[in-house]
Amino acid sequence: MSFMEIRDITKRFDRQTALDGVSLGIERGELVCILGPSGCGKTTLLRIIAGLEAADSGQVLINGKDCTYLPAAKRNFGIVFQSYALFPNMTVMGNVLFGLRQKNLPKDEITARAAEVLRLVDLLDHKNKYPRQLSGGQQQRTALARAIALSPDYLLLDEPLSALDAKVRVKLRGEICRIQRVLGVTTVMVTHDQEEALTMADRIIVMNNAVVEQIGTPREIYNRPATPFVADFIGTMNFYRQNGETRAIRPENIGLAERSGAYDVMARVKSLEFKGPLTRIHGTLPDLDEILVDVPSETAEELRLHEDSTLFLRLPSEHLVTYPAVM
Amino acid sequence: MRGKPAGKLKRRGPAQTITFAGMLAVFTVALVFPLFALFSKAFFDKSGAFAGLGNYFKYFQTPSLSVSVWNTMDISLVSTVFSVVFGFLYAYALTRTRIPLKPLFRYTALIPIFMPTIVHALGLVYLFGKQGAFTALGWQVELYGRLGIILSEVVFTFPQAFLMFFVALEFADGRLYEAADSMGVSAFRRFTRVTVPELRYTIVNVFFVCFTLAFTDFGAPKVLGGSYSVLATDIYKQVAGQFNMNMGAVVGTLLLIPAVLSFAAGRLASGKNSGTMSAKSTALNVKKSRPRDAFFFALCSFVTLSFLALVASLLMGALTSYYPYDMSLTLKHFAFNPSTGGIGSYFNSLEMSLLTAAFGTVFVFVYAYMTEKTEGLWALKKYGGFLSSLPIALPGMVIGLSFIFFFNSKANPLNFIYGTVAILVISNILHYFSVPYITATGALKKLDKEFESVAESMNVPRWKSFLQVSAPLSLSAILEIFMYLFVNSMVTVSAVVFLYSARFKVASIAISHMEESGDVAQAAAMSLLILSVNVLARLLYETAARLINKKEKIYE
Repeated sequence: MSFMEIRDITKRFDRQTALDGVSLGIERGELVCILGPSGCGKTTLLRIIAGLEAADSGQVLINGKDCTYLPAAKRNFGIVFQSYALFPNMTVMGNVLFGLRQKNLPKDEITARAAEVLRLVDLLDHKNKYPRQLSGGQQQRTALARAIALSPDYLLLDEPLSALDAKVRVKLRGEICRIQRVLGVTTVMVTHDQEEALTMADRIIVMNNAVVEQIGTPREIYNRPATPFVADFIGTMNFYRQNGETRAIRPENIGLAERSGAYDVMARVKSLEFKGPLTRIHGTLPDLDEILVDVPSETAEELRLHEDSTLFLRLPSEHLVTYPAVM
Repeated sequence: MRGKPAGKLKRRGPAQTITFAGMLAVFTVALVFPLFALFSKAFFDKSGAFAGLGNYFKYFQTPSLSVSVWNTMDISLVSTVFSVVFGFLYAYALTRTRIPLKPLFRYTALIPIFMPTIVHALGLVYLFGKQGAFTALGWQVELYGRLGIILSEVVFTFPQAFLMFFVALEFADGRLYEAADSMGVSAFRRFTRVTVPELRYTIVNVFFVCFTLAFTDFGAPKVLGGSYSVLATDIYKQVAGQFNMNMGAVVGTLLLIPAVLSFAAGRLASGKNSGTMSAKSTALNVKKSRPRDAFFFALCSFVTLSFLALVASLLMGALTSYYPYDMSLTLKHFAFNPSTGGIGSYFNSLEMSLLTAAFGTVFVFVYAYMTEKTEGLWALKKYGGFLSSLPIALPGMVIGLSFIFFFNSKANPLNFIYGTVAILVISNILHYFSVPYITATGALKKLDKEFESVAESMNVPRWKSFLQVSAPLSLSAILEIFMYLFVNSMVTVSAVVFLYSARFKVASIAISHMEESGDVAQAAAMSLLILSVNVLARLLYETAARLINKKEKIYE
């Protein structure tokens, strides 16, 4: 049995369905990302796991215990909100101590614990600053420190990086993963950023329109997207129809072949997009469908590709994904 | 279906529900029950038999009574027009011109707020009465009656109009004016096409606020009315003079006319309130213009000098032996006659105002917290929202009158608070509930809505996060509420005139009694005491607010 079991959760707001029969399991110690476009129900699911929102029906089991209607205060979790919700009238230390003071522990034990947590997020030098005096990244780490100070059973992160600059965001991804591994705390993170999910998660739960589309490791999700939505939402995907099926292949999995050799399809180059190590070819198939092909920039130069060049493409069957439905 | 959870997940303990329900119960007993008592009195005759609209027919068929309705409309309308015009021009001068002495003008405009309306009238008597300073200079004015009341109501309502216009004009979007200028629009056209449309909701609101204040004021007509009767003095005559409670109740309900009208109009106006200020708004750059500044400087000087003359007249009356015959300086008028209230009434006022401010601030802020920050409790919140919107429609005299009917009834187990400071404090909190409530909810709305969730995730009880996070972050709003309640309780006449007792008389009532019994100099002396403590309270507030702002700069 998983550490956390979500069973057939349904939640409606007014006439809108936020969650429609969602079921999933989360293992102890893993970092799971709930990924989906805005409005897909991912934040509602997180709030139900937190006990900040009540499900209309279904069950939440944590550690084998039915927690569906257990109030947030009784669940022992840490949470980081998108806004961080740091208390602006308290210092970094004050924010971390806020929950600790609540426990009936000796004072020196409490301060020691706070210092330990602040060292872990590398903020001990800034402990006497107010949130306003910190950079975005430091605020984020303060919120993280506050969330883990009470040694929670699980950690919830609601779009924790979306308020940050691109550079800081990338750095903090690694930082959060490192801290999560050190603590071994089960972590559920909500994000709409696929790159974030792919780089950070042990497993990804892809959601769309109030339902779970796919659950899997980043590799599974990327290489074997279970539905056309997942295929389209994560990375870039070419779709085409063949024999009444929808087939899909990623641009980087398409191979270039010689005119004389074995090839699957012919295309004409419409434009070239230089992306550094890779060059993306925007091509047109004979039936005028578009196709994207990624080739190493070196290869593109060697072949002297230009507009209107003719390409002979191989679509390796091991990289092909097929869906029964017609798109 | 609302976002109401079907399950039993509870984010709050019973303590929150009990607190909120308890506050609503208190509010209901203090507001709804007395109002019900008032309305039912209006529909019964003296013998206790149901009269339907009989009392109203009788009222309107008695010309000596119904003339008051028209009189009151008349003085309210005229004084409101003056206050709106002057209030607007004054606020315009302080925000859109380059005149000097702006801080001085700004603060002197608030002087009338720090005094009971009886004192405005008293000041006018010193200036324009039979022995008045201006009268002596040959400026004859028919002060007692319509004109005096109008003058006094203008003094009373001007600061309110000025403040509302000032706030609206201060936050103008400079970009609109730059755009108008770049199109070569004339100053007049710019005024009619940019300034006025931006202010139209404020104008409507100011109009109704001033109209309602003048319509329901008791102090000015009490002193200056003479034979010119208005509704507020009529109620008093009916109730305190003739003990005709039913007719008093009828007049009381008539006092609600402008409030009901403004409520309807206010609803329409606030539907799309200004909200034009965005993050991109730029400050307005006021251009130089000598004739404009000269005009506005003259206008501001006139208003400011008038208010200073009012205060000066009180000083003159209070500090001279026998104005205007013996102008030697003395402090003897501060030795108040015990018969009209004595110095005790001043201490009673201080006690009542401090209690009102202390209990009122706690009640208002916790109430606002309950309506803003609790989860669920939809029904209680709806009812709470409804209750909180009522006091703004209730004149002090209506609250006072309904309190007599409800609390003075022998059958009421709460009868024991009648005649004590408690009933005065409760009536004041109710009377002045609306503005502090808006201040409190405004401050709470600015706080991150996840603070409570964070505290919950750490199992920190709600009262702790309230005391350690929400309350400290709203400190400047709390202070403002405290000051507002204190100053208004110090000057109120209308709500307390029915409720004070011989055991507990307050200063504003004492002033009225001193004036009545001919101790005008003592009345002036007492007025000065009220003015001083209110100015002191304001100074303390400004100092504290500045300190808090400085501290909040670090974390806000």
